[in-house]
Amino acid sequence: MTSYYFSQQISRIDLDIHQLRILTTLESWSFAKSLYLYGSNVPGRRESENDPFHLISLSQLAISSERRDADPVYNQFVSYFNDQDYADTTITAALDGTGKWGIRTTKERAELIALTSSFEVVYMDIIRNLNNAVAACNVADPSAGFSFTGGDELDQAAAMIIGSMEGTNFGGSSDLDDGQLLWNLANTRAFQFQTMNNMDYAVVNSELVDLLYAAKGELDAVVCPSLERTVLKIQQLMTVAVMQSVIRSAIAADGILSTSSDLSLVGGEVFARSVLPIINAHDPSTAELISENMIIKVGVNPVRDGKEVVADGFGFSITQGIKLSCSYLGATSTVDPCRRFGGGISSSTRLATHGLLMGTLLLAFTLV
Amino acid sequence: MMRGYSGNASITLKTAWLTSLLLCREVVSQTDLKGGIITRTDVKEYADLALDVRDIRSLAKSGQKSQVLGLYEEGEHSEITPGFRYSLKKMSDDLVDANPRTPHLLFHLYGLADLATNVPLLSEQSRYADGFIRDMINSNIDLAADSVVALIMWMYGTHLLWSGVKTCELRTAADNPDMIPLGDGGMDEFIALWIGTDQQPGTGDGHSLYAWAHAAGDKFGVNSPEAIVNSRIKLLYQEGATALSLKHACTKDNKQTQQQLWNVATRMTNEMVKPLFQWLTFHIVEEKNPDAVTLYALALVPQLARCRPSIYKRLKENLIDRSINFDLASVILEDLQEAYACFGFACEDIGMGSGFRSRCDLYESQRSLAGYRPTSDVFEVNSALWH
Repeated sequence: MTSYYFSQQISRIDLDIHQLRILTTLESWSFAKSLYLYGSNVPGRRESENDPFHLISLSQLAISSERRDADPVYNQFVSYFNDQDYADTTITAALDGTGKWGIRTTKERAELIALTSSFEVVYMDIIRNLNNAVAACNVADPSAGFSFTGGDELDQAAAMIIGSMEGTNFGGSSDLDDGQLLWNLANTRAFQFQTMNNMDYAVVNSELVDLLYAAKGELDAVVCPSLERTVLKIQQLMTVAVMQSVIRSAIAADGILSTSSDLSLVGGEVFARSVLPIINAHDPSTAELISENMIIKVGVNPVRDGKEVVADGFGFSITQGIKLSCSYLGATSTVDPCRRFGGGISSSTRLATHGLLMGTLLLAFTLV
Repeated sequence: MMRGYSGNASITLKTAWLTSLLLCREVVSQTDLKGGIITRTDVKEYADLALDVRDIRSLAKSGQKSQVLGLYEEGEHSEITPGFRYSLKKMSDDLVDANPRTPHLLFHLYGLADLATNVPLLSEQSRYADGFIRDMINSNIDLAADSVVALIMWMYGTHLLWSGVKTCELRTAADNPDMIPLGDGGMDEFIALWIGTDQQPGTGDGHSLYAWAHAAGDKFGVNSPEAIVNSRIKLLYQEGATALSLKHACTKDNKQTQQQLWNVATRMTNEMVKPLFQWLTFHIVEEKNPDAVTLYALALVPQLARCRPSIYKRLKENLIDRSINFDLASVILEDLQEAYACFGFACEDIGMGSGFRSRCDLYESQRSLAGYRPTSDVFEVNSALWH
């Protein structure tokens, strides 16, 4: 059954986030809240003209009961935050100016709202769509023809990873101000962490696209175990840019006070929140270490253990918990999260990964 | 026949007529805007602003600068508040002073200020419309009426819609909603301003935004016979007016109204952008009139600040920061056509006047997300999805 949150224009959810950022930065809190609650750019699918028009909003995505389809990841987030509506709670408080964020500056609140929307709300819907593609595969009966909609779910996931604002050029927009979602985050970080491919965009993005195509081939061929592995790999790669972003925030926030209005503090907290539940599921002690350094607390200066310790935590987590090569994280001029785990990305690693992907693609198309 | 501006006798007559109208307001509480639109409330004074536009256009034809300026500043045909003439300049001032400022105005100021988020810096831009109109009255008076329509009335239309949503929100939150007058939730005022007095349905024979949108649609072959923009705005008006007419609208007992109005305002304001694209394209491709290009660039390009920043930046540089170089027309058109997607439009929603479509086919055939090509229709761009 098609999700209520299916839209032929779901890639436009990034416009909601972009416009939300503008309105909040300009202190138009009331209209920003309405935009968050009711949406503005994504019309929901209607089966007939008689169905009432509705917009899909970030708020709906943030509290939808369909998020359960994103398990086990969804459950990891709910358990970690002890709050079913963890992202909605944060965004609503920042919009209303209440709680922890009530005393922060307008720019900090605006940043928090936009980043939480992109990397907690939209993120979970991507996982939901990916899982639903696997579920569609598992119930498909190849002898009955290919009437299932899992391909749509994969396209929905792709649309929410990339977004409409990247444009049509291969690799995405050359103007890094354009994108709002994971794709942009990965490209933005790739330069600093030296994880760009030879076409000047992020290696993880290149691999994500290959994997999405591979997943579609596997779905078409109803090779569900392979599809499941491919989807898991997509989910793993989706954490890379977020982890790089926490490290980048740790570098920027190292040595500044918790009362500072430097946006790296907000970024550090939101990006950490977006990946901590996943790390916690594999390795609670590393999650605690990252939390203590990156989650803003009154009177406690951020990154108290130093940026290297935070980076090391991610180096450990990506290799031991998430089970990816540490080389995906790359290194900056000041920290190398992989210094104990094999060092920054190498061309041989990339080639090996691409070889693996090409093999998967070939297998999928052969089976079709 | 146009009435002359500043005749004392005409003002006296007008005042007497309005007084009698106000005395009858209990009886005459609706406004028939023709074409099937009869408002629930009396919004004739908003519709009558079209007559000021008519007279500005007529006076401009004979080059009467001071009369045009006087009519713009003082107004003649409309009294939003009984006993006080309302003018298009006053409308512009009301936008500048609006509290709260509504989304389209904020996006516009943000765009004019090069994406600055400093509120005082934005305020410096707030007289953009008035400044441009005065320049046109002095230097290219033929564009005075169009400038008023595209810059002031257009933006005020969006302001009326969003203000209605805001009022509905306040009432919905109030324990005693009767203390917050809802009026018609901005819908009646908006449609009166859009259509205007003396508009012949389904034609360009009129003076306000409806006629302006019709003329744009004509140039792009999208009228049948009414401009699609006008047909959709009328339908959306009916949808909004219906929501407002329901029992307990905008109260705790009917919290849905606010969302319904928000949906209607979102779709209406999206429709309103189409004539801006059409007029700007027309003046770049057909007329090659630099002042008219600047006018429609000033009306449209700042709105694109809420879209992809790269496209907005290039268009602002090519159309607002400097006079248009017509040798770059194809590059500019390509950017404009890419910007359609921000509003959910496809090329056919804007229309296909000769020479306008060159980039559309290419762009739509290569549609992808950063190179990723879907096999399902998740990236469909089609404004029909919005209705």
